Amino acid sequence: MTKHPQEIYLDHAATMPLHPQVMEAMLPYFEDHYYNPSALYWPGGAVEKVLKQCKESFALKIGVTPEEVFFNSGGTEGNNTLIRGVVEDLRPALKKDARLITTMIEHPSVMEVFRFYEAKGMDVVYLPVDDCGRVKLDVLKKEMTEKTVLVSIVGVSNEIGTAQDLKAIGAIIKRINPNCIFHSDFVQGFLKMPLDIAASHLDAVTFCAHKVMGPKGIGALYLKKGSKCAPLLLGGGQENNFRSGTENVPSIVGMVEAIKIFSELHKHQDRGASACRRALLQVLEKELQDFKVIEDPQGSPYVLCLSISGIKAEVLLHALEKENIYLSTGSACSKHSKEDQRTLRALGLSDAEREGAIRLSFSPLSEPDQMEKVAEAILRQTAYIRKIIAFRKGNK
Amino acid sequence: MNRIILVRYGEISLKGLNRNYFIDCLVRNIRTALKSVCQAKTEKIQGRIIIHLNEADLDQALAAVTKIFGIVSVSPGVVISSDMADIENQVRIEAQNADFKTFRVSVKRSDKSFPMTSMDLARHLGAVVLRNCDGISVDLHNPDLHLWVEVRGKKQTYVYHQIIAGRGGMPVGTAGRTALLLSGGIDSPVAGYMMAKRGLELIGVHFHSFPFTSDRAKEKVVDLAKILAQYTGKLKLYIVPFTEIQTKIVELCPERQTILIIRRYMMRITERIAKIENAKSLTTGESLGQVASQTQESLTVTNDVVEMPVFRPLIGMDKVEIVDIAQHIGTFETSTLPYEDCCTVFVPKHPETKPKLDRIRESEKEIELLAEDLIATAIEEAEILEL
Repeated sequence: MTKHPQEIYLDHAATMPLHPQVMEAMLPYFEDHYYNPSALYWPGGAVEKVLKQCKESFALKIGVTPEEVFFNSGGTEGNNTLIRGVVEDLRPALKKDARLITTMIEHPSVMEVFRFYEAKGMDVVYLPVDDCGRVKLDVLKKEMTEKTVLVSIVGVSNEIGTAQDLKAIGAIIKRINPNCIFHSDFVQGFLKMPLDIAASHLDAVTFCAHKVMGPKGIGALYLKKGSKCAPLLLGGGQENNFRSGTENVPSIVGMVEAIKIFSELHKHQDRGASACRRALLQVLEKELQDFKVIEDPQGSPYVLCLSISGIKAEVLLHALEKENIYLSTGSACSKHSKEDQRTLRALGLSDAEREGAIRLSFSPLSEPDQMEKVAEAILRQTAYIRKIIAFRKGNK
Repeated sequence: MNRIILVRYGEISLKGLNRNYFIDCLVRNIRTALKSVCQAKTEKIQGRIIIHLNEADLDQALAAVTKIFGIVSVSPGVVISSDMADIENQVRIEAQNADFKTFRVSVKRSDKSFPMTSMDLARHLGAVVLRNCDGISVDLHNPDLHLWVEVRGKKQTYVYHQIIAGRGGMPVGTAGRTALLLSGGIDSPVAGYMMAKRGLELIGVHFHSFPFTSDRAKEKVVDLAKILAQYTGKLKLYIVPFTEIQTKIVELCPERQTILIIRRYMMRITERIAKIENAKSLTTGESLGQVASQTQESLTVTNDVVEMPVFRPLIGMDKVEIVDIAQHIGTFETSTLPYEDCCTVFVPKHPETKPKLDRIRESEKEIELLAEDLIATAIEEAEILEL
């Protein structure tokens, strides 16, 4: 596997490269301080102390107490743990009538869990969204009942970058049922979009590290003190009995380091992600016909979803890959399943619009200078694909 | 005592004077198949092939051998000397290691100088088993344990108790070579398997239309070819860049006929490759009426451009039957991975199902001027993999 020296990577919402400083911070915990933090001799204790500091640092960053943070393997685990944990903890009598609410634009690691419980006969409501991807609050008000035990709403959409108004949503939920658990999958928003856990009445939030230049396979779940949620993994009782399994110390150290670095870089993101968006759109709006930007004006600057008419997104993706430009189709994770484009469907996009949807996603280090080259490649390849598809339609 | 696998071949023993040619080919195929998994020696004896396992793992060797065409059945066992004490001892060991209530012993004796008849020896060895195991009895018709003893010479007696069915067919290579149009779908690997079973060595030909099909789709075809190679011993795969030809066809030919004309070009190129590789036929996974390009009329049109016979072993089969075979031979999982293998961009909304040959020929007029160059370049630039 050889890497092309001139690649332009525009798929940061899928994963980001590890920051070299993060790697450096992690290495000692592979090489020298490899001890199990549960070990009783002193080096074990020393590592445990590092772990404690990491937790304090993480908690401080998101504005909660260290006891409310549970390190885990990342987004999928966080979402699964929370949803399954809340449902499994319900008393049978309560479970029978309980309602669960989520949206139509969730990541599969949320969606599939709700579908699992729906198939088991539970009452699950999937909230619709408007054409920017924002949850329709009037529908939430209508569907939210006193029997609703869990609401899970993605904070920032991975496909279009929509940012939900979590404060407004939290207020509605708690007014109707103060005991309802309010969870948000905030993997795509972490450090990129504002998050006020207390003001949003959030009881649980999912985070992960590899979308902010940290290592893969590490993340955290915030769970408000007193929230009822059964652990998913039983065993050695690590993480205060909530997440058994030897702590992934190097990755935890890496995550905390990544948070520091990314937060700094994000302050200047206007020169990175936002500038890239502007540069790209400037060329495309002038030169490319028949395309639209699918976005939430208040959404994440790190994600840009374009629907280009008259093409097939996957063909464009492969054509661009030949030019060492890597991006994604509008429907993430579709490689593994036929059930794709759920989010774009929920936004009300037509078949043709969905077929031509691509996603570019940036990092604070993305270089606006490269966007001209990207725009040119998109123009050139779009023209080529359109020509062939137009022939197919007999428009010659 | 040495561990062996005894290999029986059926149909090929009928092939008269060519018999040795077939057997030698089978022995070669067995050697090739075993080479990648273990160090075993293969020996040809009268009517059988013996694989001496030495240190090799039996299960690995069995898995490889039972995929080879031309084998009717195999038996894992041991070879010992034809000394009576040795034979008695081995039969006793086999019986003591087995879990059974009823048994029988069968003897074959091609060494007629052996002092006992087959019947006598069987009776004698049966008595050995009865003496050494408790609570068992003889059942000649439906025994739990059927011990076989083949006395083949002074130094070779084979003892085994298991007969595992092989795949039959003819040793790959004995019928020559065929060029197989290999897509990433379910059908074409099955078609290849079936023709290989009749003794044909496969030359795979895959058409790659990047960016309309992805590199993952190509990898999938390579994986399928590797699975087929487990049955054929080896497989040469041509990956032909096809985007140029395909886009030219879409540009220059009527939309309803594009698929057929694309198929015609695939056949032309495959026949060229067949000639280069000294193959004498083409094989496709077509099944009558499955899609628009697989009607009688469409097949007439695609056949028109080649002179070699085109084998279509699936022509009369249902999808369900094809899927059954794909599952049986282990290609189904790979075939159904979701990467696009057929460029839907090129599929017309209303393809011709009853094309007229002369009209298709007429439609090809314009592209024909470029055809020779396009075909030559595609073959020249093909990626060739030896799997």
